[in-house]
Amino acid sequence: MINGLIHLARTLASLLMLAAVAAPAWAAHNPNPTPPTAEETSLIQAALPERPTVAPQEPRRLLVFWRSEGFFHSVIPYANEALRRMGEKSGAFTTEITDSYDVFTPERLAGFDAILFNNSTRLVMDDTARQAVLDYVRGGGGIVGLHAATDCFYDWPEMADLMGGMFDGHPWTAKGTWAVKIDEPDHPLNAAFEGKNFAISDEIYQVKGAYSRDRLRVLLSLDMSDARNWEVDRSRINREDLDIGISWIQLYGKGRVFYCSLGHNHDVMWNPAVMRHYLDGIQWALGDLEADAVPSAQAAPAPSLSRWDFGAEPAELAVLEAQARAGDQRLAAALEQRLLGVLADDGATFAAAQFACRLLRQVGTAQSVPALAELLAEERLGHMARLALQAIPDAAAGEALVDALARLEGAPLAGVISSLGMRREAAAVDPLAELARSPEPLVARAAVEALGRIGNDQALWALTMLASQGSAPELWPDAMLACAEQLTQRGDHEGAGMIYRRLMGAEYPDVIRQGALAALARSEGAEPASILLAALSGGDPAMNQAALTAIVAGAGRPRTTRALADGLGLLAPEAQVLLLGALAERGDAIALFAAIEALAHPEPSVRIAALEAVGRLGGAPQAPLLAAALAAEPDEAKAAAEALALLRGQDVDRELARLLERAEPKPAVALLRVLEERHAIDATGAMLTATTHPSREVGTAAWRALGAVATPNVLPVLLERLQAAPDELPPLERAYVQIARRQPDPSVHVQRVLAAMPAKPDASSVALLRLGGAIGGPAAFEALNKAARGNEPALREVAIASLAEWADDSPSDALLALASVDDEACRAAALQGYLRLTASRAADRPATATLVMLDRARPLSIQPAEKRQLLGTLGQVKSVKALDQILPFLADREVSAEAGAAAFSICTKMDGESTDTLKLTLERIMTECTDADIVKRARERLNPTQPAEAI
Amino acid sequence: MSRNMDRRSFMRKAAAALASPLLLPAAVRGADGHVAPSNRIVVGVAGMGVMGTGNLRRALVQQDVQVVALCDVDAEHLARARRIVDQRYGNHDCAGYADLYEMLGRGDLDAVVLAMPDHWHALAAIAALRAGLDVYGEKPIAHGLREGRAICNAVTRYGRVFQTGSQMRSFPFVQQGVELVRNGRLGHVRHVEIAMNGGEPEYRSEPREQLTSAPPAQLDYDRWLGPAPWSPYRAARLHRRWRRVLDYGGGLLMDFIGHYGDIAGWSLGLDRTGPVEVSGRGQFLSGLYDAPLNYQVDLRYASGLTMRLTDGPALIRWDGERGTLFMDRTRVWSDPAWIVNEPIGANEVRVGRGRDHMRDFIDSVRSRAQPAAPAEVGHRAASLGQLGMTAMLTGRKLRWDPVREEVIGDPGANAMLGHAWRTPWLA
Repeated sequence: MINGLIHLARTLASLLMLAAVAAPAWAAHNPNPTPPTAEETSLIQAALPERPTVAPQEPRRLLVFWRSEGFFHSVIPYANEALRRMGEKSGAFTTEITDSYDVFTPERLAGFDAILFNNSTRLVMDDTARQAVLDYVRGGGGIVGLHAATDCFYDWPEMADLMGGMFDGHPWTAKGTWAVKIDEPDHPLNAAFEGKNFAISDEIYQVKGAYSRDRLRVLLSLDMSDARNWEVDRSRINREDLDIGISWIQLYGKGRVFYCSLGHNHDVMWNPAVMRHYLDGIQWALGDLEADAVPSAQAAPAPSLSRWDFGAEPAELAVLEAQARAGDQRLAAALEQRLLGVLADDGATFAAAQFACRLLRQVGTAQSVPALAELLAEERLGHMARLALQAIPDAAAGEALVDALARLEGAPLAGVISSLGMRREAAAVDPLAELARSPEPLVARAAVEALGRIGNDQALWALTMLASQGSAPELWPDAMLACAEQLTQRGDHEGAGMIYRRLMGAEYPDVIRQGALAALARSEGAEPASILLAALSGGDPAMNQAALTAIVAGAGRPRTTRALADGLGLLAPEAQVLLLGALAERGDAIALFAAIEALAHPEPSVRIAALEAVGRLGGAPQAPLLAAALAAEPDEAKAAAEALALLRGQDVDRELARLLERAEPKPAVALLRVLEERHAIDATGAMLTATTHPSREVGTAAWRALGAVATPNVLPVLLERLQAAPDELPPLERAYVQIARRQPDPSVHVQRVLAAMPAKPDASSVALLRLGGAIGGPAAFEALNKAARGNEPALREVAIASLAEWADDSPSDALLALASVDDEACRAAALQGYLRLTASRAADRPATATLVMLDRARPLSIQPAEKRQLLGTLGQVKSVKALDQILPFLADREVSAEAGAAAFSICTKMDGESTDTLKLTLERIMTECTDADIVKRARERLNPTQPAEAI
Repeated sequence: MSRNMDRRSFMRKAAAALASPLLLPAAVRGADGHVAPSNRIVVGVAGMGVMGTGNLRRALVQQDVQVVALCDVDAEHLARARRIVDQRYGNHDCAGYADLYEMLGRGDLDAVVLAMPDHWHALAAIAALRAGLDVYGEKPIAHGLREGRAICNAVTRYGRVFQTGSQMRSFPFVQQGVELVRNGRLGHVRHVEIAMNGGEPEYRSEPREQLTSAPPAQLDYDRWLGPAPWSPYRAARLHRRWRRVLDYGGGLLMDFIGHYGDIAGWSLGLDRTGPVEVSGRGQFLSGLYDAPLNYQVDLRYASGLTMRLTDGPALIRWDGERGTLFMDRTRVWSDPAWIVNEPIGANEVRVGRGRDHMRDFIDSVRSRAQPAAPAEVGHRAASLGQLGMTAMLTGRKLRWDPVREEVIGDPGANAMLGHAWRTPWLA
């Protein structure tokens, strides 16, 4: 079976190879390709340059050759059209466009200034034709290649070299968008791009063979420092130098060659910059445009990586960094060689060597180890080498670090020791045991620390020897703690326990003793509990603290918890407070019994702590116990309430509801708050009952809880209650609104409320309309508008009041219309409502909008009280434009004082703006306002240095 | 979402109010609500940049805290911070240090508040923990993943309290969002999308290189570098900009992962574990700065949940079966909108506690209860960014074992999770 599959695969593979050689079905010349549409043609025409870049020295003839024996590009007719029109529009050349090999004779070619290969693939030309082309170029003819012109001369090396290389795949496919680098922004043939790197959606070729900056003047290439160009199948990137040229020129004899790989996608033919670049390249090939074609490497040799220093533009570094991030072993290996070249260069700068080490941390292998190891002794570079060596997984890196121990000293030695610890190199233990006795503090410290990190039996033995010899007394206990942790991980609890018990000794620093205690407490059983209890009741603050920390952090060890709880009663009250808190935080329910016992402790602080612990650890059965404490002193009652809010279990809410039904007023209020905090939906019924409680406080708390918690199921009941007693229940209305607004679609509830309004208005109508209005939404808005224009005074009044409190400005027109009716009561209410709406939402709209609204109300404000309300709002607007409306009122004796106050308010708010206007305003206040106090303040503001009396 | 009751645990409050005689001898709150100096938590603050100064101010408003020491390698930053402390206490008693170790060795500190550049985080925190101090440490908890684990280990080893400075955990709207997700209000959550641009518009327009110069006289540059690779002084790589240099920080990704990655993990009960698969790609800078400017990190968890971290205007989006939840730096909202109004019952997961992250830390210093953002969750949040950065730097998809904290089958990527510290700056 498997053999059969392999056979099949081989057959398929050989078929495919055969196809590549013999050219598959799609790879044939198509003499009638689909031309661009009329629309596309006009796009092309618009994108072409208006005039030549340089005037042609004589009429130029361009031969456009478009035959394809290999892959036929559908762009060919587009490019033909673009080139023909380019010549016509710019006047730079005329074209002959052909797919016939007949043109390749010396006689025919003599009639042209250049030959352009338009995506011509795998051409089959005999020796005579080939000779004609080569002679033509050597003699001074131009050659232009577009896109697939490199996918052509596989069996004609000389022509392939002339074109600048051979197609080697296109990892950058036609659907992607790729970042293009302008290699020489100042080169005449790059003028089209105005010096700006750009991105283009096109297919970008990789070429092999002759391509080299030693031979070609490269104009455009892929910017391989750009992450977008790496979003490809990286295994298909064959050029390890990552030099992906896109556009280039070279001289060949007297002839000139221009190649550009852009132009696979049709729309490139209406890219104005590329068309201009084509034209410039063609004009250069035709012999009209002057441009330097000295190979790139000669014209501007790339700066040596080894000589790079801080402060220089890091163009190439970015590409190498991207190469390191490519995640491709082949590219990484090439990069490693490149970096090792820098390290091998005696003239390399620190910056370059540091750069090399930094990247070797990412791509280094055993091959890099010797070069890096050599650097370890150097003061600054040594650290960089170590950074790489520590990270290179190969065992050779560890061995090199161990070898270095013998030949280093001082800080570099300490660094290598530290890295060995980080790598946990077991082979380093023996030398580290020696180095731990070093007279150099830094070295000894690093060695002891590394032994702790390595933490195997040998390391532990070495530390034990240090301890027994009295060496490094301030260093080894910490490393020993680290070793003991690893013993525990290896399952040797007994060995670890011995170390911890020893390290709890008084001769060790607090932090070591605390650590040892914490570690012992992490085990399960009576022993850790007794250690913890002893530490809690002892007089050593460090051990008190450590014990508490360990208890809090030690959940999930029920036997230890149980033993701790058993010991609670024996502790002093202060210690009981802390242990209860710690047991609550620990969260093992097994400690609950001790907390319940402690509820009866004579010390209030212990009882409070016990309440909290019961709350954290208990459930429904403990609810009555906690509820009983609601009647206690304020501190205990508060703690009890908080504890009740914490109780967990599905029955808790029902139990609390049961307790509520029998509770005295004070605990009842507290229970209702608890139920609200718990969002106790199961207690909705009890809350509803409590709303009818004779105590007003209980009733209010019940409505509040109901509003916060209840589901819409309760709303019909509330509606009935409202209809029965419409005047007495603002808390009910608040609860109703709160519940309705919380729902996905509050309008449903508005409709129900409005539907309950009787046909003939009665006392309930007012309450229902108000309720609907308070919930809000379009249906409510409509009902309010209707009622506001209706004949029922009571409904009209409530409708106007509700509209005045609306959540946006939409009722303003309706209110304004009502503010000019004849009915004085309605008019006054509507105007007042309009002004309230304007004032209450002033912060949410621009000042100019508020001024427009007030301007509309001004002619309707007749009564002094109305004018005052208007002026009060105007005075709050943050705009000097408000003064236009305020100042005329200064002459109105009835409200002159308020007008003065409003104008003065604007002057203080807008200080620093429109100084002249404000000055004039203050002067007008002084002359026109009837209020002496305002006049005085205006005068003081106008002349702050002069005392008022002096004037 | 109003709360009637303070959800800080009694123990925390009691410890703060009673100031237990066991932990702090004879500590009793005075009649005026002030705590006598001898009963205060004695604090040192290190790193007096933007975050450090903010933390200092939060510490100074705590009635039961006495800031007695400040530390910064830049004498100007130090002097500015000392003026703030002197003004608060009306005296000049607060000491100033350039050397962190000297400050840690004073012997009278209970806790330190650290806000140094990332490359100093682990070194400073471990030194403080080893000195027996509790630590409030800025996020991300550490520069490298291994160093974050080392901090967690030290916290456990020495029985210390560690609060990660991911203070969004103490914001009520964050707690509300987390409770909604934790309690299934969105149904099953399949994907979390996290955008975390920190709003540094000048990031793009900075120079690519800067000439080196002598460090200014008030700065101890070698100490500023500490365990990081030596490099000549270039001013634009230090104050406020060091995050753009991978030797010192982790760009915008590591800047904000400590908030948004933490919140996302918290909301899904994944803040003490990690993903099983990580891949990423980024547009890296090169030269003066080398952190990624744009990035996309994709994380997959064992449950099948996916998470994506990208640059962009700060936003977390949870895609759930029943709806979508959104959170930015100031609020939480949902689609459909009513989901955010759903109350959370007492039998559900409630994560709310205090609103003041520094207060929460000080309470824990007294009570020894776990603070809002213990080292483990700070480390697991930072891990998301560190793994993402490693995936980007290696160009490989990482398979991650969140229990053993090992990249499976990729020793090279594993080794990238730690750094070698420059001598003499060893822990």
